[in-house]
Amino acid sequence: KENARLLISMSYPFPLRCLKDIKGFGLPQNILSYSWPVERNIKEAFYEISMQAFSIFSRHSPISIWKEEFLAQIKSGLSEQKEHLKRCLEEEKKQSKNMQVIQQSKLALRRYFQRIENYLKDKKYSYCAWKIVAVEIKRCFSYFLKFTELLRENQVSF
Amino acid sequence: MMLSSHRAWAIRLLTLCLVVYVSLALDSPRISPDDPGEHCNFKVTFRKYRLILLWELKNHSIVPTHYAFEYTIMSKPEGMKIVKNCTNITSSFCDLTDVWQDMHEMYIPLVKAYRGTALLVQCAGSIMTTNLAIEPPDFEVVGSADHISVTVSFPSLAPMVYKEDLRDHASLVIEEHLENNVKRHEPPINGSFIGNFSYVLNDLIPNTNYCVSVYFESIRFTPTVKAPLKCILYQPGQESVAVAISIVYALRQSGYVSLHTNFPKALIFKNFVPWTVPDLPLLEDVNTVEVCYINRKKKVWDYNYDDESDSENEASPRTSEGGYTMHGLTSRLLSQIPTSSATSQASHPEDSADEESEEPEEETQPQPQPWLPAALGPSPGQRECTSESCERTGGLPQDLSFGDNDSNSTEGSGGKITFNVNLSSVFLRVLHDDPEDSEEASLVLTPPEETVNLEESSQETESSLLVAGGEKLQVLFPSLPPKCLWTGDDLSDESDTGSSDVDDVRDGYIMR
Repeated sequence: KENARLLISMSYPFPLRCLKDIKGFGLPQNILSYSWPVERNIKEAFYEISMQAFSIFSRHSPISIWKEEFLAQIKSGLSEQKEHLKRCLEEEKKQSKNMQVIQQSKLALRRYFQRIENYLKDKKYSYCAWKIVAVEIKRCFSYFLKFTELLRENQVSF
Repeated sequence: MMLSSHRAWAIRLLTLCLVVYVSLALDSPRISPDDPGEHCNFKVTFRKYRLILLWELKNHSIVPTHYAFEYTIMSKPEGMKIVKNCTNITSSFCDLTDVWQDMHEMYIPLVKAYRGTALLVQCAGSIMTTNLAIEPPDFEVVGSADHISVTVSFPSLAPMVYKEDLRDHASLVIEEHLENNVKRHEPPINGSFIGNFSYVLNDLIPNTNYCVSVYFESIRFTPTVKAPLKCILYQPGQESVAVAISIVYALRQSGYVSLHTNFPKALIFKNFVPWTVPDLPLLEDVNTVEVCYINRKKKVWDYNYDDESDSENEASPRTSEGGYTMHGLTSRLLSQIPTSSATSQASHPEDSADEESEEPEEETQPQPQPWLPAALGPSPGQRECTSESCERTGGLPQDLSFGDNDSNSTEGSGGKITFNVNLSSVFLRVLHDDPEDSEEASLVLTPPEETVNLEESSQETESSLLVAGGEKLQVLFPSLPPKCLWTGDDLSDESDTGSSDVDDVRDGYIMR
């Protein structure tokens, strides 16, 4: 939630002059469907998102757009989130042998983030491109927050 | 040469200034109708379960006649979308409940402001669902006998925000304010936020002002909008008054209580002649008595030790251990008085001195007993007066009484009542030896044997009351009826228990 708040502050307010650079990245919402096992699927997806977002902000630091301490804060949050999920998943991997569904979700997410990275490259990491990417990653986090809340409230059917 | 270099330098400087000026002019923001900019302030609110987008032009000097609203989204490169109900509108808001239904989306609104057919300005913005302000529901606060009831009125519409149940994203909070303390209540609500919901605030301090606020709290949506405080003075018991009023009103409505003015004839008191209700007979047997006062004169001892003057023959007043003497007071019932003047009753003031039970004694006691006002209580002796001599004692102060019925027992033989008297609280009045009074005083029957000269030097008597205070007799209340006064002709050698030479008359009073 804290990382989502940071991303919101990065993307809002959105400069109107960047409307012409809007692009659809095709977030794979189907990976969050109620498939078995849901809980592990969400954890895997969340780990993949955290890792990919951390990679984008690390390899192509938009220092000219956001302040350095702000970038450091978002990267630190994503890194912590990534490591936490990694530990959880490694423990569950030992117990579960059904990895097929999980691999498909991870591939979908990797393709999704690749499209984002390609967009930044095409737009030459411009101001508007970064603004649009920030909005998109925030949207991705928002989806996952919703499903984690549902998981907490046991509203997900198994 | 020098002049041309200076001229070139000036020209360069001027050119530089022009360039800077032009750059500044070009970079300065201009409101162009064709260039949508951030010329508006946008606010999205969830009001009565409706998603409302409001806007306001930053430049208040621009006053359009109507607006046109469009929007797009960030997730897809779609063109501007027209909202049917928000085209050519005069109000500066648009209901987007059924239009914006993705809470993860970022919406880009575009507002065009017109004056007639002329486009004045275009303003755009970016709206994220996190900017949604959920307005609080309506509520009422009612005080009851032992609690305060908070009734929340949810809108009758489906509580859906972005096509999702509001309950999944927000919780209802009731704040209880007491001075500087705020108590937070999160009542569990079964089902969704529909209809009315009542919550009770308990454990309240009586006669204290409580304020209540209600709002929706959400982790996802900010900011939190709290309802204005509604305050109530918590007074236990108020409900009973309200219930009584409600009952009366209900009875009136149902006809049990009629406010008609057409009364039946029996209830019309127009020609009613009021009649006095006769006095109820007294529940207790009350005897009306007349009180006769007899003044005594005390003979001054003339230092004569003759046997004749020996006081041994004199009957000293008997005293009881309780301070009572045998100085008696005689009264008789008014019913036995043959004269018609016996119309008023003697007052029965309280006998504050009569703290002990007293026993009446017979009249035939030989001991000399001074006449004392009837209010002094019973005495061992009693006096008798004729109907001609006994006067009403209605003029006596009210605090004079015959004594309490509980503590006194009055016995009379032949209509005579004898009271014992406590000299420490006796009020006596000494008659002056006035020739006018003597004629009247002669009408009074006095025991010939019992006379006490209460005066030091003179034989005069004054109509006054004597108060026995210890060894002294203080005279008070000089308003006794004369006919019951003793003339003082009957002298008595009998002396009181105290010394006989200490009588002191001061201003008509005798102190002893």
